[in-house]
Amino acid sequence: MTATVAPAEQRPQLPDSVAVYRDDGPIAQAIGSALGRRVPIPAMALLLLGAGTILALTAFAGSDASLGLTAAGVAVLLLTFGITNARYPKESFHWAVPSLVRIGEYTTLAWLAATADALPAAFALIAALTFRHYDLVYRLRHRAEIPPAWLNRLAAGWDGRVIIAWLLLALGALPAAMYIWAGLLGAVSVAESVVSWRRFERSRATAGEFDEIEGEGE
Amino acid sequence: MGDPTAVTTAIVTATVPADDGSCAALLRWEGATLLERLLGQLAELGIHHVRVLVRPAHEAAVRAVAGDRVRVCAATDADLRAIAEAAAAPGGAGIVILPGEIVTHREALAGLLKDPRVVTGTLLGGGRRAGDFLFRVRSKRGRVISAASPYHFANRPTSAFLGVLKVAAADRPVLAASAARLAELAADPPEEWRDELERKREMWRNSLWRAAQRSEDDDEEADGEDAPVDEFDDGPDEAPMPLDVTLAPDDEQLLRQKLAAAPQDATALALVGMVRSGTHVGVTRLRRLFWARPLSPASAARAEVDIRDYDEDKVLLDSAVKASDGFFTTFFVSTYSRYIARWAAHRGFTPNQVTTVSLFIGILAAAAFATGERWGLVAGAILLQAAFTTDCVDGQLARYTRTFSKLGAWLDSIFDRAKEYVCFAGLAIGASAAGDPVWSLACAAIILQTARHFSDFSFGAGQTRLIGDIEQPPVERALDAAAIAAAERRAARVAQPEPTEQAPRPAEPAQPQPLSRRVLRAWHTIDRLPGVRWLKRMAAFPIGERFAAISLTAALFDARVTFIVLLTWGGFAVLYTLSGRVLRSIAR
Repeated sequence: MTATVAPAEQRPQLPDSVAVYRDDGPIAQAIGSALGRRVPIPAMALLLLGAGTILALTAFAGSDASLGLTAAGVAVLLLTFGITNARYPKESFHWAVPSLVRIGEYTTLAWLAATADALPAAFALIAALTFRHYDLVYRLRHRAEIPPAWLNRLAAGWDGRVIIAWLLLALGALPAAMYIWAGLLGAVSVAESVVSWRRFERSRATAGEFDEIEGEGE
Repeated sequence: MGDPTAVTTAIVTATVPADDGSCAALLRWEGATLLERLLGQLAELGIHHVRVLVRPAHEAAVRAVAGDRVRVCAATDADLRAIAEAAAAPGGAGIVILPGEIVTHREALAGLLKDPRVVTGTLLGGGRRAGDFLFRVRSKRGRVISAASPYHFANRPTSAFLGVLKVAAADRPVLAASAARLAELAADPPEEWRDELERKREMWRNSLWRAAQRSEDDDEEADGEDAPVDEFDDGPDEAPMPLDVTLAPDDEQLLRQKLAAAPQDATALALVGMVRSGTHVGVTRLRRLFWARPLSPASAARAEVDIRDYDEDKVLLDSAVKASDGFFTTFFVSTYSRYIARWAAHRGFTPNQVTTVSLFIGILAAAAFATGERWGLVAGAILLQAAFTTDCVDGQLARYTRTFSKLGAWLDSIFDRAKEYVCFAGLAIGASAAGDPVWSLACAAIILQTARHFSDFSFGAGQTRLIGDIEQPPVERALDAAAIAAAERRAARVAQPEPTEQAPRPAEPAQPQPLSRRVLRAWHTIDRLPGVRWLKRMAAFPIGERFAAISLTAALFDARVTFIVLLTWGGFAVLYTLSGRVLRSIAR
């Protein structure tokens, strides 16, 4: 389509939704800026490789995986997804990126927990994370905002979360620690969201989209 | 004050002559005039600051009705200058521009003027209201991307412009600038504009001729939804026209009248000005309400009779139901939930209260599922359906009572997710209690559903961005961006250029297209077969189908079966939507 964007863009530019939805932490950013331009593999291939590796490990090694194998899985995920922090696929395929990151992250968390027989805790953590991630979407759509920096630091990004989950696994702290983590993350995310909504309702700003777009509004 | 979408000023154009040469806005209506009726409706909507633009010949007559609100404009360029001046006037809220002779329900106007979700926007009707000789627009994802006027062409239109344009306070400077520019051009229309008007004359002549051939089987079409859009088809817009058709004297007279009225349409020109300036012009639909723009005493009398056949409350309630809902929601829930919505409206419940009730019922359902007992699974299934019905009610209540808020939209979305995932947890806890743990399936189901949603969100965001990136040609150009691009492609294909290719006629000869586009086109074509659109919506496994699947499988079988069904149907939906999106991404 039209490749050129009008030079004098007066409309306020929303933050790039793909970058927001990815929910990258500092480690993914570091990997991206260190290796992003050097690895000559297409971004989409890296994302498919990362998500595919984790899905295969979960399906075939499953809950019997050794600590070493889980470490290797986490490393593959960090590397493949991390590199794509700085490199996007072709614009017409951008829509596939956030889903792949979510599949990679959530499956890893579930797989790590499964090796410690802690799947209910993983479900709790994933459920808390879905609140954060849906909130990223709705916040951007309705209010044209992203969460405050402190909340993003606390959430640690998908990269930070898989590392923390692995450390908890290695320390033998599952499932208890994962339940606590899920509870805290969920409570803080919900509380911050409610507070920021109240602030927004008071200011009655018009920023952001406000329509029921078919399909995704469900 | 404080509402950035509020409208307090109206510019009413009473410039179009009726067939007897009088002012169309002064046609009789229930003992008064169309204009008085409209001014009354505007006053009820809180619009007290009104300017009525008239031609010198009708000044005295209109003044008798509208008093000192009248402003005399000699021609269309003067109308546009008056619009520009009003927009540039300091202070004030939003402006609405509309013709004085339109007849519609007050709710149709309110749907545009009182909807906080539409900042700057317009009222649209179904795409095939061709008999009314309306100017048409192309809209996508709730935004007008191209609009026609007497002098402007809209490629592959989807809807008809019903004359009402709302410009929010923030967009008034754009209106002032674009209307001033249009006024300069309208004073002496450039050649490209005149060619376009000539093309319209032929088009209208032809559609009158075709209408006469077709006799009297006019199919009423709903004004709710866009006609199906084939986004990759930039082929000919109108069927080829037989030249030199002869019209019946009545039709010839009608055509002359339309041609006289068309260049007076300052509202359509103002809309083009806003769209071509890159402003986000939103869309409100007429739904199934009445709308007419009589230009003769006979048609005004007909409208007066026709509008009585409308049960306004029923129409409003029916159109509170979302047209894009899935099969289960549309046929098994919305059929009765709208009456609950009306009941809730009369009892004074707010949509957010209903949303919250829905969440609580959903949590009760999850608690029942978590018992793992048969009675619990059955009770959970019933409660979940109750929660889903309530969830449909809140949106219908919001649309019925026009109480929209961003907070409400957020609560609705986030509580939907919460209900679904809490029920997953409840089912998995219940299964463990019954001695058959399914946590791995529950994790898989939540991951799959979240991934599906994120694919939808991102795909939608990408489409919206594409629409925002369309470079609008300046108003001097008669053709819109798509038609210009098509003309350029055509010119490039003609290797030995025929230098005197006549006026740009945005019709394109058939050409071989890449496979992905051909598949997509075929995909859109089968939508016209009965039931196919519903099947496609079901295949995408929307929320109604998901909740129905959970309830049925949990009540009849157990949690394991529920998750397997969710994963199987959801997995199929992934393959289905994925193939469509990949094709589109390749075709782009």
